[in-house]
Amino acid sequence: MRRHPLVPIAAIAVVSFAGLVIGLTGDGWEDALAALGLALSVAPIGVALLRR
Amino acid sequence: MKPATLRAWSKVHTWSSLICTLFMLILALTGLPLVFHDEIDGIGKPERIERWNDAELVTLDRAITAALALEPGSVPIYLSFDEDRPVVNLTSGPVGDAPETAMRFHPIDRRTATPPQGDVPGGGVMDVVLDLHKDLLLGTVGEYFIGAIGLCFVLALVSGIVLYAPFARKAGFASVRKAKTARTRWLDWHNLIGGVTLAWALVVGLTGTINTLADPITAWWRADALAHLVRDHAGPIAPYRPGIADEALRNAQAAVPGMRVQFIAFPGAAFSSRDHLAVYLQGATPLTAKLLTPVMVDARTGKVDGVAPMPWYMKALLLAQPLHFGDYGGMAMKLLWAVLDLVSIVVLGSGLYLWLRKPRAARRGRAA
Repeated sequence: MRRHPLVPIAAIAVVSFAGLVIGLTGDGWEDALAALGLALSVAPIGVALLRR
Repeated sequence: MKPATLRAWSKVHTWSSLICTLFMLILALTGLPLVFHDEIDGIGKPERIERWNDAELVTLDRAITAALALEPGSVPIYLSFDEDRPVVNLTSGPVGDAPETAMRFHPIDRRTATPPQGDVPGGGVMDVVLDLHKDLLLGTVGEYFIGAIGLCFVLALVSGIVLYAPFARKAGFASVRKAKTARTRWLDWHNLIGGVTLAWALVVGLTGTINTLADPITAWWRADALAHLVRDHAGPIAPYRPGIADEALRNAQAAVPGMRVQFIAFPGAAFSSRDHLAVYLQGATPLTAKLLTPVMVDARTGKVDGVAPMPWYMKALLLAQPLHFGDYGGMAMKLLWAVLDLVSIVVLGSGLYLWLRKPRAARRGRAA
């Protein structure tokens, strides 16, 4: 079955949004999760910059 | 998607983006230092841990009297509390319902009942940056204008994703055709960055728009949830009497045990009524600390009239602030927020470049 072209973007959006919301609920692992979600948003930019 | 539908979405994306780009650039540039406002405010100030004995602190009302003496004829409007030192901040004005422009801010150290030593009067450069970000220095009109720009930005994001879907089907995810022309490369970067930062940009855009509506949302809350506690909407504002602030805080904390005070709104203030002191209490957990519980205390008798839990729209307003500024998750989150802010500038700039470099025939064709 062919994957919808927006699947990767939707996955990144869901994870980073969930991280932002979970980050509001605590000051420990919750903040780490929020940062991880945001890092996932910028990671593809870094990969594209490094790719020749 | 049919070509006609695609063209319509393309028009929506082009015009919503063009309308908001210049203002979004201003917001992105002013938002960047605001992410680090705590660190910037702390520059040049000696880092010291304050120690004090609660028994030696003056009462709240003594501190309020000391602050009011600095501005004779003024009345208290809000009282807030510093977290890391025994300092209260009194916002005063000529009347209880004074507009924001007529309000004055006086911090008072409760160890000495005088302004804290070493504090520089006025908010400094970060206050100007915040005002520029909030309302372009245009007041309420500017605030609503920024709200409308925020909605345009959200529309540009949604239409951008609709347009990206057929493009991604051909080009694949996160691919930049580096061997192609400059315009193609920038189109790929625009699509890639705009796509992967979608959730962050939507959250920042929507929460920014919600923040611009703080005044009407608060007014609605007063008319809606507080209506049953307000006896006379047009009556005189209950005057301040020394002793009432300490009494109100004591009674409020007895009514809702286990919570600490965040601020007190005096009669006439936007966050209170004309007859009450509203004592805003916060919980102990990181989430409940952001969601406030107002306890309405009769300004004449000092008795608790009622606890008014925040309705959903006030909770949304309170949560919109940390979600907009990204200052709730430590330095790692702040740095990532700054990176996302910078890459959003790239998306805005590349969008403008793509429009300017669009072949003239294509632009004429679209216009026709």
